[in-house]
Amino acid sequence: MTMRITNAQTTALMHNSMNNSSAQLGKLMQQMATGQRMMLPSDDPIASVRVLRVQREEASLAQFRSNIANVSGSLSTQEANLKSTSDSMLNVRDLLLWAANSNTSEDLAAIAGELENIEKTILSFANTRDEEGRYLFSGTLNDQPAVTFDTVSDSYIMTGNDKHRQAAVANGVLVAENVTAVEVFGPNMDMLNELHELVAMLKAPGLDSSDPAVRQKVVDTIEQLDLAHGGVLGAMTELGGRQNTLTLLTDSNEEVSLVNQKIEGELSELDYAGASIDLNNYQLSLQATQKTYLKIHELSLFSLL
Amino acid sequence: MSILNQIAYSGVRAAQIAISTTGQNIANVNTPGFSRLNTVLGSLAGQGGLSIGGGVEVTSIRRLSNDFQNQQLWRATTEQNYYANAQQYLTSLEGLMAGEGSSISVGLDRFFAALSEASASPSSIALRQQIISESKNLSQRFNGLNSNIDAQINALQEQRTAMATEMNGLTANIALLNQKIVEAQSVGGDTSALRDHREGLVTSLSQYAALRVNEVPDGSLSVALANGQPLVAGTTAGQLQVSKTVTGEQEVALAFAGTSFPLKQDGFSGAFGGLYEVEYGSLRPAQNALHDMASELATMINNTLAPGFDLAGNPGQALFTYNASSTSAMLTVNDLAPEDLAFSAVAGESGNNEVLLVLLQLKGQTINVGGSQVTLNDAYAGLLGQVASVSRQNQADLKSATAVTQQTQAQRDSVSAVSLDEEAVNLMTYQQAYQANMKVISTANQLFDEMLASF
Repeated sequence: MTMRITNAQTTALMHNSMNNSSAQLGKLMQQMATGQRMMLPSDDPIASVRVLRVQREEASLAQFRSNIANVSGSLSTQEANLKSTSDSMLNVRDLLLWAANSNTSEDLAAIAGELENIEKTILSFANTRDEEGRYLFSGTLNDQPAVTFDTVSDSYIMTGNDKHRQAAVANGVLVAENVTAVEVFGPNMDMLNELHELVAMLKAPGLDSSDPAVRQKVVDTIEQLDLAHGGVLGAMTELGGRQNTLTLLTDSNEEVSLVNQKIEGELSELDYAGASIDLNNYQLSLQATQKTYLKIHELSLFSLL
Repeated sequence: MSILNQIAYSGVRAAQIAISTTGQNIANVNTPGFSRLNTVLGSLAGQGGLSIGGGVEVTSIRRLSNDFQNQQLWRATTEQNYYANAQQYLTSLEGLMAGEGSSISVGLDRFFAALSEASASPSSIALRQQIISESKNLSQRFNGLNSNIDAQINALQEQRTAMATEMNGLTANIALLNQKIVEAQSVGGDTSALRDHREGLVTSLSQYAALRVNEVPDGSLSVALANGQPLVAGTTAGQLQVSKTVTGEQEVALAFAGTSFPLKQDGFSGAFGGLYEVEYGSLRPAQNALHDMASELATMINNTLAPGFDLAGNPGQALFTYNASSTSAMLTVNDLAPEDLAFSAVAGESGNNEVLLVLLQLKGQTINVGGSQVTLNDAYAGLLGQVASVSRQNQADLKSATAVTQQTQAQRDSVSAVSLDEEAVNLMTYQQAYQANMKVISTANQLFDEMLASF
């Protein structure tokens, strides 16, 4: 027995297929407007979860980029201060060599005045602070100066520590963010103390410039200066090495990020070519359904009665 | 009157009734649930010895309705509504979870990013303030999502109550129609319209729950739930009662003929069963997972901060508070100043970030969510993936259930609905029959006149 086709069936068929085409068209337009393939996670549950993971990694990488910039900036500041310290120390060395060859107490007094200024400059470099007032070279005791002049003992003492602060710069990678005055100048601040004593000696009234003790003090100071200068250069090399590490990490972070962006694009972006073909097809089928309905409607026997 | 006249008159009457039937069918071409009528004709025996017969009579007006097809349609309707009703809530839930504004995943990323940012300058007040802000932001995401899911559950419960009321109205009306049909049928009256109406009510009822329907010889319909509990028997209708338990959940009981017994909602199917499935299969589990995550997050962060020291050298204080009994304040941030965050491992070392580094590592630490060990981020991604999969499966089921409903509706309509072309043919056929019978009467009269004229 063949199926009876009733008016209700034709109407329902038309309704259903028009609704279907319209719904598909609506979704397609939404996709094309946003450029996104998935409107809801259920459009592709597995891809949605993967996108979430990729986005999480991207968020970390973006943060690492920012951290690297911060650390690198801080390292550069420290490096600049060390460079200035090094320059000052070279000045001190020149002055000390002059002192070693000088015979007049006038010369020595003049040298002493200059050395005293440089001594203060070096101290100020060791106690450099960042824009928020934290001491750069105090280790983890960054709310107090790295080096403090103790009036009781009339000498410099270390008030920072030698601890490094690790900063997160890549997945599972920490880079030390600081160098400390302890590393650079030694725990006893021998160079600064030696210099301080020398200045006091040279400034003393009635200094006998031919006193061998003076010469010896100058020689000792040069020795300590060279040692400390070695420490400064060593710290600068260390900072340069860390900068290189950061550059390397930036590159590898960028590469991972590039891959992530590619994956995210593939997972979530709409294929416009495919979508526009689909759009045409749905439009065509909607039009065809509409025309079919009109034709069938015209076919009523009542229109001939 | 001559026999010929009588025969022709019976033909005229039969044609009139058939034309009226066609008229009724045409009038109801767009009436949902209308079952078309068919005039059944039978020839009459003659009275005399010669067997030419006595004309025609209308033996019955048949209502074309197929019980098997109706049952199929009801079943398909039940199935379709089960998936359709659950889908509304699933779509909302996944939309909520995936939204940028309420995504826990984004909140966690930002919280850990703020910690990471501060790792190089742990004593920076600005960066510490940012950590506190992101903590608040994160807890707001937890609370917001939890509240939104709670709002969904409330809406769902309201819908359940409304559905029970609707179902009670339907069963009461079916019982009433049973009574009318039994009365009409017992005196041989017309029950077509009543039956159309009753089938329509059963179709409406089948949206809400899987039904067992069978007709009793007296013409009444017995309607029961899938597991046999009676909704309508004869002229008696059951009443669904929805009540709230102390834990805020809903219980359903069925009162029938003076007794009341509890109903298990998981066997309901239909829209009512769909509500149960989505409430206990998706919404409440998602809420529980959020609670697990919030609780573990608070414990993990607070435990890490506890042995640390803040900028003033004081021991660490808890950053988060988890409240198991609250929805909108499930996770809150304690009133800490930026200086109070205990990032240092040694009292007095303000530049020490060792505790902060341990906090950063919590990102990869596994926690217990719903019985499995996952990281915080994975817990959320897993939850979203699960909701998305359930939703996708439900959409596929809804699609096929909809196709089945459309098909069974088409099968029912194929038998019971009106075809205008068919009715046009009937109209012409019976009009012709009417005219032909009138012609016979006029011929009979002519014969009679001629006979009279011959005298």
